[in-house]
Amino acid sequence: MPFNESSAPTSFDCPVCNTPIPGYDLTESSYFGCAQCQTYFYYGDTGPIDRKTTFPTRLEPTPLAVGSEGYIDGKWVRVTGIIKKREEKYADPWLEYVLMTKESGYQVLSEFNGHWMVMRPAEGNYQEEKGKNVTDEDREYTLYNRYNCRVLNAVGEFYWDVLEDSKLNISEYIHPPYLLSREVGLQGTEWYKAVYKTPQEITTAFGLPSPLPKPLGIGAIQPSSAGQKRPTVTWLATRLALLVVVIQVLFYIIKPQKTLFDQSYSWNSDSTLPGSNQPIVTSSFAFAGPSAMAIKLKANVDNNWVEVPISLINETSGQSYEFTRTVEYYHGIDSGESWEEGAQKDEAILSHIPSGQYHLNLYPNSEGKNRFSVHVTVVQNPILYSNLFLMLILIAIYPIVLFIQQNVFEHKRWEESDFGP
Amino acid sequence: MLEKLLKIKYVVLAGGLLTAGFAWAGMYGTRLLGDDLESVEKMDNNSYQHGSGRRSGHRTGFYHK
Repeated sequence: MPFNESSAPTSFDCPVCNTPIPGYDLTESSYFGCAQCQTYFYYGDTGPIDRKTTFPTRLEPTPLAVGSEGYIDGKWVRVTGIIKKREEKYADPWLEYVLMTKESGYQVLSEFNGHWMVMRPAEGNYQEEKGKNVTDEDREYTLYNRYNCRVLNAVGEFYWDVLEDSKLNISEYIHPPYLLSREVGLQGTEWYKAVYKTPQEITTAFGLPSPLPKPLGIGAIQPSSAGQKRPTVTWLATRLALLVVVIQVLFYIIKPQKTLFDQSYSWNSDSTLPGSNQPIVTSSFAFAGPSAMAIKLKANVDNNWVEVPISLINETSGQSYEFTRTVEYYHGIDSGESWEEGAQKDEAILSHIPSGQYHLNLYPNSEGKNRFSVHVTVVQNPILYSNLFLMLILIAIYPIVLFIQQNVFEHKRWEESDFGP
Repeated sequence: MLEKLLKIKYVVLAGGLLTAGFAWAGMYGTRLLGDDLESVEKMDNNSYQHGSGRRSGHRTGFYHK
């Protein structure tokens, strides 16, 4: 080969336009694409030069140029060739950068709409199952795309005839951030494994002076941020939920429920009777706080109601805690169907009540002239189920949000595929 | 797992605070959401034993078939 030592590291002149074509691995490379005149030719160890084609369009400037060096996954690579391709069915092109490595032969860095992936030859024998899945020792891949490609341009040096790529039947199976590609051609079947790379990773890998453009849409193997977080967040949420239940049980043991007061009273709703407007004043009881207090009411209402404004009075401090409960119960038969509404009991739970001697003042009122029996129970340290359920709901919110985000993300990813799940 | 948890350290922190809040509420009998208490008043020392006529009660509404 007529090497021109003036171009680093070695080069030879394009047989058509005499532009120097750099050569980095001329012992392996036999096919070359000229960036100047778009000529693509074969140039083996022994001549002559065989012009294969001239691409009709010039390759626009690419983020990485032939000769660019970088470190991917900590390993040195150099771009030795760039191929522009598109699917037969679709016009959107992508770029494939052929990367020379020191240890593991060639790799391909592919970029489509700002989404990058590094593709390496895969060892092993893979079989498509159920017409759309491929499994390896680590994971199951799902069919995402099948296509034939068209080579639009090729610049640099290549160890195979890139024009032959248009004869390949390519199937891509994904398990983000991984991809398995099957290329079936006349020479047989070859498999490649790819892993997703962010533009930031590529910028850093090649030491680019300015950041690469942000990706458009969802990439075929772009990992979902929500999907990456979800397993850890779910793990954490289940542990927190368990911890909360354990704490609740501990409180049940160390702060057991205790009935402080349990008494029945009789009251007549006939306002014409003397003393009917007098409140029911309970006897006093000691309360050890600060803690919650449950005041439970039972009344023998039957198709009726009784409203009971209540004052819980701290006899030491004179503080009065005001609240109202209503007991109402209705039942009957309509069109042969029995129905009931309400209940003969109700309960109020008061928060953070301090220690002290207390009693209750009850001011019942109702309609009609009925005699009611009102049963009052006061319980210290009732179980605050609302706190428990609130906590469990709060703990579940973020995993649920991530689940929804991940599903929306996957839905958008598969919108780009002809083989949605 | 520790490495993975570090990636969501703010979620871990929020979860820890929530759990601490729950434990505090349980310890002091505080409801985190809603309260049946309508008001707290300071009563005259002589009046709390008898509330006659203090309030007549007023039903604001109820279901009736």
